Amino acid sequence: MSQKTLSRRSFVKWASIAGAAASSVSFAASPILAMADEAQESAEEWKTAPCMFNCSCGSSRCLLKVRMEDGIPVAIKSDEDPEDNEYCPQRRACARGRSQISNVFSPARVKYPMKRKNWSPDAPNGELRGIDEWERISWDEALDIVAEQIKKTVDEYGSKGILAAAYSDIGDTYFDPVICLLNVLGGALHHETGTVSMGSWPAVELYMTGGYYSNTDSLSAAKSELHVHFGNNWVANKSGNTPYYMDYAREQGGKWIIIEPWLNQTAEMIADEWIPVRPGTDTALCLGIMYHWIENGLYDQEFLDKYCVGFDAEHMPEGANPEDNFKDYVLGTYDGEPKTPEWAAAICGTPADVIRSFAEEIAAAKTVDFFAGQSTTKIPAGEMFAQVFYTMAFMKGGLGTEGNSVAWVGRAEGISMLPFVLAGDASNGFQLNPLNPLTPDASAGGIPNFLALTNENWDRPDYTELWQSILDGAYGRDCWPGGKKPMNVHQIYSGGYENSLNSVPNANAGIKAYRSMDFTWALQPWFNASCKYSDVVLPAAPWWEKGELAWTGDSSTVYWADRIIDPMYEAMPESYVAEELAKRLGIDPKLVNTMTDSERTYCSIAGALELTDRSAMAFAPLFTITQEDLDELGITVGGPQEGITSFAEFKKKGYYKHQRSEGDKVAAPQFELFRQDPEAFPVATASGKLEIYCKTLADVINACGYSTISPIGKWQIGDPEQGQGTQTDEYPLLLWTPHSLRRAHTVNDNVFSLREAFPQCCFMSTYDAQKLGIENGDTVLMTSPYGQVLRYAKVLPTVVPGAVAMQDGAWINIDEATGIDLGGDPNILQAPKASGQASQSWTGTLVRVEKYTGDLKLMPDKETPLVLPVGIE
Amino acid sequence: MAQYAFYFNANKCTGCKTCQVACKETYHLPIKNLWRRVYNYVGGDWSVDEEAGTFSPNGVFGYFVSAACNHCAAPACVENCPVGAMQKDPETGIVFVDQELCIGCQTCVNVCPYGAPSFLEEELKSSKCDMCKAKVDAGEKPVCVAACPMRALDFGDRDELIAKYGEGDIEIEPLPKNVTGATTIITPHRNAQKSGEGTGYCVSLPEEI
Repeated sequence: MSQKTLSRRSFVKWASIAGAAASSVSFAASPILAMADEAQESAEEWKTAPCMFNCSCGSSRCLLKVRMEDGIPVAIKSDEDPEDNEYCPQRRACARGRSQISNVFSPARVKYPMKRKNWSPDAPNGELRGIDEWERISWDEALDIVAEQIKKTVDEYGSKGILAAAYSDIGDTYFDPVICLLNVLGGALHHETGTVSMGSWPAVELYMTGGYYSNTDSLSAAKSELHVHFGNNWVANKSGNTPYYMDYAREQGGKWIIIEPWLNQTAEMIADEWIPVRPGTDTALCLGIMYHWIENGLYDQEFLDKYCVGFDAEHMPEGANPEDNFKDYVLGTYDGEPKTPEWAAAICGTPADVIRSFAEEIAAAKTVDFFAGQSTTKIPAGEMFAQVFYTMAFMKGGLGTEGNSVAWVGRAEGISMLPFVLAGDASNGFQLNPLNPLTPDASAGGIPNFLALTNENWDRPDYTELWQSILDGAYGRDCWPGGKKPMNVHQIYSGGYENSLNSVPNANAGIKAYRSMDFTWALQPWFNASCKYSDVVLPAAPWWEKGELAWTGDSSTVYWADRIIDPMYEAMPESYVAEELAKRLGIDPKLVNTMTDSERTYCSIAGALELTDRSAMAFAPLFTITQEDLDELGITVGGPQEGITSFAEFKKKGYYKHQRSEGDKVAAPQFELFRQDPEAFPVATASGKLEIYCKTLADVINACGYSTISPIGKWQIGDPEQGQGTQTDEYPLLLWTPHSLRRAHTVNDNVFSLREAFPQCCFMSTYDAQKLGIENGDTVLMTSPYGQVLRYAKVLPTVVPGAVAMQDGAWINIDEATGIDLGGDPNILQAPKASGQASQSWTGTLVRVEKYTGDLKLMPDKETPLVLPVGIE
Repeated sequence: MAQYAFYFNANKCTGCKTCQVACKETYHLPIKNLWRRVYNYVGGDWSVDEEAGTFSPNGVFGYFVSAACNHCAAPACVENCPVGAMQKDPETGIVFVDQELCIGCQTCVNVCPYGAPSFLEEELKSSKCDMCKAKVDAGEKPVCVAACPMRALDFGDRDELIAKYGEGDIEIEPLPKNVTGATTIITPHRNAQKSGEGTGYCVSLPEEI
């Protein structure tokens, strides 16, 4: 017998053991490992399960095919389409997609409705949250409890007594009809003011350039001679084909320069040159570059004169003080501080001669692809980097012509205001979902725009300071109209694909806030930290157990999602929970679940579109739908339609990929028309030009009260306790928290093949480790003013001195005796610093790292048992 | 006899470990068993100018090496297996283990310079990459090759691979000198160091490789 006897029997054993063993830390492997001899399998069935996690804020969406045997998923493959080239590459999944069987069958699945043993309506015993044991209860009992508690909180404190730690954006694909229920009741609080992913970019791009999410596509980018990328780790945060296209651009002759605090995995692959900088100091680096350009006349004065305002005293917008121009700031004409490369070097750490030669190299390139990752502005007053970054691209001057671009949102195949293809709206296709009356009616980026707001009843706490705000009973700033806004939260709901206790900074305050509630409940597929600190947990069916929808996510593919299996254990879809709670609260279930499953399927396909002409903004229906299709779906609401391809064929194949070609009509240089005729096609800014001096931006941001910024990009220490220039003897290191391929944000941390591949480590520089006597693999204690985490050190020459990184999303596992987190969640350390447009300042948190000498014993992640509900089999 | 081989282009490798995980998930390998693994080799150090507040990397570099069984021409596992469980397929040159014959002595695990065979602690058997023999027989690609998001991996008849990619060089850190006729063709990373002459180190923790 050789290794080719994986039978379905042995797989079933693998799956069922993995599913049942509470302390399982590994695959319970088949008795003899064996190969599935697919060639010999008869009646092979493959279902389509596009990867559905938010790994990249929409930059990638990859194909997964699941091989079924007798209704059981036994293997996954990705895209093996014979066609695979730059015009239509295969959509190959990363390790996270490839391990989805292990995720769906994980012991961390919430299996049954359950209740914390020591919780009762009259005696919540909140201090036992996260410690208590659990008992299994029936769906009816669980729904009765939740409905009763919702009613109680709403009756006593209004709907704002509930924090809905779930997306309010029910029009997105991640819909959760429980939010509709809460909206009918008056609307719960959502912690959505400000930005989490987007950093300080949106308002800056909007007011300086008049656009949102403007970028270039991968084929056009490959025509650039030089790629200047700040904070690019696309392998981890824009996986799928984004890194593939980087390599393609290199093959076309492009040179890659990556500016980063570490030679990250993307840079190890692509970088011809790495410019190391301290975390959060790219602003100073760019100012040093621009000083060198001004000093040596290495910039496009004509572009600035014709297309921009605010660069020099001669081109200031009306009403502005001519002395406040950008050029004189850089030269130090009025503040006495020239922003020389030497000045910049002392801040960013990059030697002045390196800054000069970098400046020369950019100036010499004919075409430049400027990119800066979202994280580069996740610093106090992070708008400053977005401002100087755009200004630098304007000074270079090529914008509006082929090969020149400036962007912060990756490539158009991923995120684009005009996607190449998209699926229809499955969550709110009939536009009947009840809205949250607390939503601000004017926003700038993610913050309510106080200069334009008319809905005085708006109520939406910011993400960053959420937990402390709950404890303090107020959020916001005194300068807001009416001052800080009071908060009186008594109940937390965790659902809608968020895991806020893990993903919001200052998690120790989060645990305190959770423990102070009357009632906390969760509706989740996996037992994450937000479940652990709840009183009642309901098992949600994950994507594989729902499906039957056309799906999109990036801008270049529409997928069909099959239902892979029926809901496991007692899991149910969110729509069931919403309807059952509505019934118990005397609300018409149709008000909260506004479409049937088949209506959702129909809307997802009937509303699917393909871009046919970018300049005309023309889209065409993607799918031909026949009466036969409608009959099969049991649909009576819509009629047949003509489209580009047949629905039946799409469903069978599982995907529709947008096909590119040279000179197609879906791509054009940014600002192309504006460049040709700025009078006829002004950009949508206050002046109609690109605004290096942007008063609107400063006014809107400064009205928020989190930061004070200038109308031009200036370096500042944006917070006295965060970032370069604020280190102390007690906290000498700067922390930043990049993404990991182990997780998609907080999802997948329960998957052992990923835990083995990507241990959650404290990444630190060999330079600092030597001084601290720390060697690769040592157990280290990381401490910030907000908490402590125990991890293995990964000692890297590829990290700059003075910086430490820990990747986001690991599940909290507090040792109650010491308060130290053994799970490795950086939000235990993260400072709750809202900044600028209420952006979370993830980068530059002050920490110290020391070799651990205490009694706690850390085990490799792959051998550490998952945190599971004690008392539940 | 034909010799099938893997091809790996280190310049395209991002260390995403899709190859490793796709393999592991396809064959349901237990923890501590990897038929393909990815090393991260790094080196260099820093000069710090305290007065200027600056730092300069001195030859700092890093690269990834994805490695599976090299299906050697003179495989140490086959030569040293006391019961003939480790075999080299005469048709394809693929090295595989017949688990029915395997007595679990772990000789192969200890003698392979690449750590390719891994030991199943529960079954007390050796296991290893067989280049997805069954898939290859059926005209498909090995899982890792089909999975690589960077298209950095390939496989096929070794002579044909050489015609396509050149001879390559498998003697790069952190891999050892080739004393077993390893057949894998590697296009070294532009910063790769020669086996035995490396100035850096493999930073991957023992638990991840």
